[in-house]
Amino acid sequence: MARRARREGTFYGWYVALALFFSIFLSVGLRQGYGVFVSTWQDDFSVSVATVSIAAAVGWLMNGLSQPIFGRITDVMGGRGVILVSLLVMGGGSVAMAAVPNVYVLIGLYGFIISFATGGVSFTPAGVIVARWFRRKRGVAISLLTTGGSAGGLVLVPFAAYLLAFSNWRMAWLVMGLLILGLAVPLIALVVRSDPAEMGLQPDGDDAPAEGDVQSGPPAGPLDAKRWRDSLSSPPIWQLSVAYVVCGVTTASIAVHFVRWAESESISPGTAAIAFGVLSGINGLSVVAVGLLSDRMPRRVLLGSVYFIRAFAFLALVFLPGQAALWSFAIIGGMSWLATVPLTTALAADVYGVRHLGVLAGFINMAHQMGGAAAVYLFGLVFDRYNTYDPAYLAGAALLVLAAITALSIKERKYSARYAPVSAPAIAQAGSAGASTTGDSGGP
Amino acid sequence: MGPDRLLAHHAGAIDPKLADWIKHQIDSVSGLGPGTIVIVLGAMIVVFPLVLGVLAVRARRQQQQQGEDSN
Repeated sequence: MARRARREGTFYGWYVALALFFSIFLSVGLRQGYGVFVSTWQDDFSVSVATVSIAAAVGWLMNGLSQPIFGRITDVMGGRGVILVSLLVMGGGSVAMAAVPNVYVLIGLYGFIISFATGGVSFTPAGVIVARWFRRKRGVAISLLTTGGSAGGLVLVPFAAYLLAFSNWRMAWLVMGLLILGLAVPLIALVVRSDPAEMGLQPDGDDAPAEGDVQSGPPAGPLDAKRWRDSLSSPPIWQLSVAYVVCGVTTASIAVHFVRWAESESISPGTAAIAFGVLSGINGLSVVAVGLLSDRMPRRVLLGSVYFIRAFAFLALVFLPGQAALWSFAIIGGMSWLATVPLTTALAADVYGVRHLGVLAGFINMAHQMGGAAAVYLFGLVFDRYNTYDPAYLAGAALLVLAAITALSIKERKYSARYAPVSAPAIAQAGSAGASTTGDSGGP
Repeated sequence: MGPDRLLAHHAGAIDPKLADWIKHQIDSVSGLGPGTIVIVLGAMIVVFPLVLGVLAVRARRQQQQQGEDSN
């Protein structure tokens, strides 16, 4: 094990994580802020809400599809370049939004270009960079990124709403674009480095390892493979992906249908909004708590627990009466809402190392987005057919139990670098022998 | 139920009704005009990266200094 750094001051990796926090803050905030402008565009362009919504739907799809692409580029060229170029496109696209003449250009610009670019400023490349900078504190560092997304919704969405009220939607997009170009681009260029080795540093701020030390160089995993495709023949990537699909199904469906469910239970949208605010607040605390805990105990146990907790939240929606269901869901669901993100990314990094983490995390994130998109449609179908969400929520609870069991079944002690340290020769062997072979040899 | 109703998980667009409701609540609690709130929130957004950038540059210089001293 490498010796701990004796240098004074804060480890530079925390500045990198905070700069990435800000880029995620802008990226998520920008996409969530889209909803603020829907009714204005509806009036300005004389189109239906459904037409304006096409851009959001296309954007959801493009964002999902872009994840493995940006992940692969991150693995090859480093995450800093991916995030910088993506921020330039996002910022330039947002400035161009100020000049959008009709809804078709809006769909093309926001739905395709900006949404695709936001995939390059997502948890995929940012998570890879953080996973390179941190090994022991990976969980809490990635949870910091996750809170950036929550903060984006809390600050940037009201900011966009007030910009709209203060001026107009063109000025609002211009200002947001200039914030990205004028603040995020220089910050990432100045502060972020894709790998601590670029600054002569080691992960976690450790001193340079002595010759023969294990875990020297970029963090590796027992299933580190020479080709990323070899990783697909190992169980953990599928276990993580299956569970994350369920995460997408259950979060996207709630996100879209929560207000409508509340209305069906005779709960006012305002009360539902307060409950969702409570959920978000508890979620912020739980993400940090889970990040801290996950660096001290098996991540699969926490991940499985998070899915189990969310299953209880779904059951509360079915079996408890209106208000009790609402607040139970807000409190119980808040404990699990975004907590899956740092756990899944950190566990993938522990198992597969960082060499191909971008493309692997990209696939896992794409699975999440696709599952979410399908669930939004299917939950709507269920409500239209049965006039209640109960069958859909029961199915969601069952899927969450399945996800919990799947997460708990990951052989973390055998496949995670936290329990099965990988030496440099073993990594080389992994490269030549393929993922599944080395995975078996990498266990204690 | 269209995709415009996505609330706040990962990066979906916020529900327009919810955004409007949140703005109304902030209005009633703060009693401030839109321009003032834009300035307050804008200042928060601008200050964070500026302070972080300065601190990061200082940390990098300090680290280089330590490296030179140890050599």
